[in-house]
Amino acid sequence: MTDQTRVDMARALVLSGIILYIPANILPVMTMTVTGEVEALTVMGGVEELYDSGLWPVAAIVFLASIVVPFLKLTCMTWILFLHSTGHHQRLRTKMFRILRQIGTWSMVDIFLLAVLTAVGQLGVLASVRAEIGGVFFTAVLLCSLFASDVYKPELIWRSARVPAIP
Amino acid sequence: MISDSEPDPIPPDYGKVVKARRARISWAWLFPVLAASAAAWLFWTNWKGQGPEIQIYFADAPGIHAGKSLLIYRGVTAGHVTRVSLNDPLDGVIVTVRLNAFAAGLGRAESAFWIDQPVISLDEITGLESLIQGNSIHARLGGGEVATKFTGLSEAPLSPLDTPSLLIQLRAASIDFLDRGTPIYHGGVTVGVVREKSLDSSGDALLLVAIDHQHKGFVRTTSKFWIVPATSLKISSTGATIDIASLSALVQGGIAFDEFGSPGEPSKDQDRFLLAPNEFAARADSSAITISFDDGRGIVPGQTVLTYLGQPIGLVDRVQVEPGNKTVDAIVKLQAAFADLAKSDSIFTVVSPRISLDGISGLDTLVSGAYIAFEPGSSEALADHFIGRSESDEEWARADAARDGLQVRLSAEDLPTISEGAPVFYRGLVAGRVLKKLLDENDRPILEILVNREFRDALRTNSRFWRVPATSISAGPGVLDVEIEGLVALIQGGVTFDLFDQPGIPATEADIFQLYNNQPLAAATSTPVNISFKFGRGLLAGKSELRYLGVPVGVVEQIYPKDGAVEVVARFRSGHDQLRRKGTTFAIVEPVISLQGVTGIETLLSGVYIQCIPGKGDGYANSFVGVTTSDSQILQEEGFELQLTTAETRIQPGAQIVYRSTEVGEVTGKSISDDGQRVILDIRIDTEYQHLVRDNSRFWDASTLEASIGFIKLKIKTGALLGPAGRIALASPEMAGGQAAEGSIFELYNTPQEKALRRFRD
Repeated sequence: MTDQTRVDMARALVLSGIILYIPANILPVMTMTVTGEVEALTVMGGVEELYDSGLWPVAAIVFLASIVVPFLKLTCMTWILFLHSTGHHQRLRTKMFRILRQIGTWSMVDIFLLAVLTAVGQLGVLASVRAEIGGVFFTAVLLCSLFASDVYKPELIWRSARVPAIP
Repeated sequence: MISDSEPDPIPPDYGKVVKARRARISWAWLFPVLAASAAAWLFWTNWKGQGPEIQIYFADAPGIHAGKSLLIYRGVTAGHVTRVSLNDPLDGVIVTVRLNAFAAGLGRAESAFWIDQPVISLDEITGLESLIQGNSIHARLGGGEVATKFTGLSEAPLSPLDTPSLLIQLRAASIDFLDRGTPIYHGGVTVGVVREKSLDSSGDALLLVAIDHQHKGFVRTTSKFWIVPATSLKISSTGATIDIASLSALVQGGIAFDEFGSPGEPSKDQDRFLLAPNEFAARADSSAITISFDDGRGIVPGQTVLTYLGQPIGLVDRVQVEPGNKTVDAIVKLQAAFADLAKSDSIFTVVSPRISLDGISGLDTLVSGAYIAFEPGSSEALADHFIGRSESDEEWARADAARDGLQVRLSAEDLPTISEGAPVFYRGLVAGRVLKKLLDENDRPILEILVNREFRDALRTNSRFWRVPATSISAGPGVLDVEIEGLVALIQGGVTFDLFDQPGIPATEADIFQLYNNQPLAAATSTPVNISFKFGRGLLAGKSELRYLGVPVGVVEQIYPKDGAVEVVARFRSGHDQLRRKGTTFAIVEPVISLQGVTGIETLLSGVYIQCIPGKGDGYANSFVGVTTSDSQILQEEGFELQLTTAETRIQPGAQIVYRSTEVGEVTGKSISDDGQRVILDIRIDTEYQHLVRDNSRFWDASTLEASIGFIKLKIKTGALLGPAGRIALASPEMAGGQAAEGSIFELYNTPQEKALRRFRD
């Protein structure tokens, strides 16, 4: 895989991620039925629900992991790729990319939570949780950003630079 | 690196010529395209699935949330609420519903919308799905123009689907526990439901009832509706029955209908029916008759029934008090099938419960309430107004008896434990009852009894009556018999009658019978005999029996001391007249326990009895002299009676008489002759051996055994060997004389007489 292919693929994946990010946040990821109350929850709705229930630490974690981190990841990746083959902020980009990869390991926590909830939350009439289409989009967003950060290498930041980094 | 300061004139290597390629687009760019098209497709299908938006006005919209609540039509989600807001003057809610595309047709001007809330009543739980999914808006399709603004119904319409139910109206005086949702039953199947409870213009309670479309053919113009009570508890003499129609009807009850076999025209919408308070009232719906009573106690409208032959055929519909006539008018409705029984001379009688210390009458009415007994008349003409009678059960029964029972009187010395109403038995069957206890002119108690019609023939002039004791305990050897009559007899006592003789002529009203204290007394029908005993220990009047061959044949009726002796008046049962012949022996058998043995042991349990041994005399006597003995055996056996006489003997009564070592009789008595010189033994030879006794027979004391050892003759008293009483040997010479006559007296020898007998031969 040439460097250019890697960059192209990363760019395509990031773009896909951005596109999918919209339905992922608009569409409900799951439907919760608790004692007769039917609620279709979007990711943000879930955070609100948790916050309303007084579980603000959990709400904060979910908010960070599900909204902030994917958003940051996508924007950062966009920024990194936008500046690809330029010599600007190479050091910063490298550091940022390293951080993104570290954080990326946490990004699936939401999907995992959804899967566990759907599997366990089957209490018949009392409560049930059903995964909705939004979850698919959300997963797709995360997968896109995951693969994007995987195909892109920090070396590329330096290798592709047309202007020598150290004059 | 390369510096640009001095360009090379000729590059050392030109390399390969590479054709300039157009920049290739990476296949990775398919991802964004796919993502975009997926998202676009999703949004497009979502948009396409949406129908028009409609607005529904509700006075209130509990549990309706934007984005959550659904519009349900025929159980299918036909749309969802997108916005809930209050209208401008804040007097209602506007619910905006986005219809699904396939349900766009619901937006018609006549469509109805209502909010379905869970209704949890005792009858049923409706809208259970709304309990789980939250309240929802339900719709019924109507016709008309396409519309987007609607006014919602405040509650579910009468027929939620467009297949119209049959809507009928029921009018009733009392619909207390009936409410919306009360089921309508036909033949036990729920076919409809009460939709609404209201008042009509005249103020009567009105139930709007919807009969399901598929069942509406069952409602006919002749149908009768009645209230099925939630739980009915029937208490009757046969026990208590609790009827629970169904769990839903447990508290709420229901309404049932039936046409009772007269199908009319199919009913139409808005037909009106009367709602009867119960099934019986629904049945008894044909013609009303009025019965005037002097006393209306116990007559309850809607509950008091009219019975004919014990079966309910009508019901008191209402009761009116007529102050003018001082009567209470009961308006009674008969079942149609019995309407033509209301002849002009019919008799109506109120039967109400009566409880007194004497007894309980009309016990059935105690739980079922008073009822009106109906006796149809024989007249041809029908009537609708009658004069009823208000009689107590007893008086009614008396009137009853006047018609078909036989009323006779029983006279007795005293009447313990028989109360009015006590049963009269005939061979275990209840044949009548005691009507009244009274005293006759001689202050003797009199029982008036009524013998039912079917037992009239059983009662003859020579029938015998006796009291049935509540409980009798009789003991015999090895048998303890506790007899408890029926519960009624236990409380009230009773009277039994039976015929112990040849049937006499049928009894009539005027007959007076003697009431005996017990059955043996009653059974002893013959003329009394008087027996005089020296001592009457153990004899009980009415209890002690007379036995013949061990079988009871009579009973002691009275015992009284007379002239230093005990006079016993006894009676035999019919067919034992031979026991009244002259010469009959009567002996009181009582237990004796002595060293010589135990006799009469059975009397220990059964009490003493009088043993009868029929005499041989000609003619009959009514007066006898009895004896007392402890040995029943001697009295039980018949035999050939003889007497032996001797100067002295050790022989005791009970000693055997043997003939060639075979027992042929026994000594029955031992006495001293009148002159005191001799001992007289009464002996009895068994009848079958009496031919052995000849004029020249000899008797000798065989209690001793002689043995000769050499020259010494040894006499051994062998009393211990041959029996405690001794032994008498009997032998006849070969040239036997004539048959000895009964009562002959023989000499009892103390030595063996074989030699003497042999001499006869020689």
